[in-house]
Amino acid sequence: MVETGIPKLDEFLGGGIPKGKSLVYYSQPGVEGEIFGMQTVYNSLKSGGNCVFVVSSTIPSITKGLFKEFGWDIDEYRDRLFIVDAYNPLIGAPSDEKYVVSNPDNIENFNKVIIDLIKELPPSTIVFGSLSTIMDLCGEKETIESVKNWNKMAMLYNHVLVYNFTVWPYSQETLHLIKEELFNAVISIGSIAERVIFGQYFGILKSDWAKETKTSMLFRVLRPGGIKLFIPKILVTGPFDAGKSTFVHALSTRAISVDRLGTTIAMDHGHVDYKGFSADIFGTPGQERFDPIIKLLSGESMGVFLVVDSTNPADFVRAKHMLDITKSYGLPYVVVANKQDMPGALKLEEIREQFNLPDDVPVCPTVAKDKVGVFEAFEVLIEKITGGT
Amino acid sequence: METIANMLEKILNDLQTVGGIELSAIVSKQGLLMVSKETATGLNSEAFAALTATLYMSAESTTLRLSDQKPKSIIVETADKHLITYAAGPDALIVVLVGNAGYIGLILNELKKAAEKVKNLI
Repeated sequence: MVETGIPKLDEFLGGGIPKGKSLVYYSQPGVEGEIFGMQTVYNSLKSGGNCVFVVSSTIPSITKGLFKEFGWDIDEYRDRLFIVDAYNPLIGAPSDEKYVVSNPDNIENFNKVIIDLIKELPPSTIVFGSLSTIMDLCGEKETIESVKNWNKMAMLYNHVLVYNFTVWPYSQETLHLIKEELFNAVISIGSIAERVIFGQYFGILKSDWAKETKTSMLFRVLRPGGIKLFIPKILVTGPFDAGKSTFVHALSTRAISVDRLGTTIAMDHGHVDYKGFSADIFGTPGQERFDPIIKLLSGESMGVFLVVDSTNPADFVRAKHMLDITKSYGLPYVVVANKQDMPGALKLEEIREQFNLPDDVPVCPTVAKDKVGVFEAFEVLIEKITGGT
Repeated sequence: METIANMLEKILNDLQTVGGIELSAIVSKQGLLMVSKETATGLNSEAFAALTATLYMSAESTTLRLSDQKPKSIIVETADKHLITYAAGPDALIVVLVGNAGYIGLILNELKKAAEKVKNLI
């Protein structure tokens, strides 16, 4: 298996791409799709594999600069990374690379270089920076024939082939072949502008080795950092003095609170970067007199942390009521049983019982002031939101 | 291909040509950042978006109770800057930070036009 290095995608693919298989990142124009191939290159180098990167839409030194921009040092792996230059000859510039496609507008030239590499190298990951550029230069039919051939050869020699493909207006037949027939797996990448949510997503369109997953994941591209799964809004709510602000601060890499005399009067805002996820969390005030604000603040959340003080069951009714006013029913939520270190803290089962919670709502023990359990709770909620296993 | 995000960015670019605007953003009333023109203020845009929305929401809660109307704009004046939040349709806000050099009247006028454009887009 070769991991793609894209968070969550490897999990969906059952661990990665098996040797001998091919995968295409099928991205809509205007979406940052090229980064997917690059992240796969870097990840396979990092995990000790050989990698071929076919650069056809810009000069290789710019591509190398891009890797640096994402914070990926590929120089370290010089001896295992083979760059195929299919751009410089096009503009008549000399190339410093060992492998050069002398006529990038002739598919035969590509065939020669690629097939030689496939035969020469031990099982590697071969990534095409832009299949659409090759198609534009060499023709749709010709390129498709070659891709078929490369995939077949790769299967024989146990390589993994990965293509970046941008869905420009090609013929319906070409698009159908790419989407349905040529590759073992197709990952679609697109953008959404759903009312006020702006983002990019990816999802598995097809994969012949992993079981089908219908989930799409929102992502954003960080420089440095690469592809991070993106959750625009997670709500943190709960009764007064349950420790919501402390929870937001414990979880966040950076956070801001609007508070007076230690109690939140408007909101807490925090940003979490954790295990390939990038999420913004919004904490509400807890006191009843702020209910109108809570109501307005809570729209468009993707998940909810309901923070409660484990030593204060009297407030549980208020906690339930808060789920109600934030209109959070139906959204994935977890109950964060905070202040577990205090004397008299209720056990998780007792809290579950008092709340009369359905079985599928997790209760997570935390001591937010010492950052105990907060990331575990985050992981649990993320799993609920992303619909993972 | 022109995405909505591109079009919104263009609106902010047009707005910036008025002069005196140090920072501008379009955010949802729920506090999500849609697009922004970043400058070196040290505050990250997501948090800025969330705080702006909070400001608007507090004002909205107040005016709704007092006069059953929603605020059109909120102007916060500090020693040498103005922060103007302008409602753009039911879901979005445009927010600009104006320095000493800006003409508030002119900017308010431009904001009104920009808000209309944003409203038509989303």
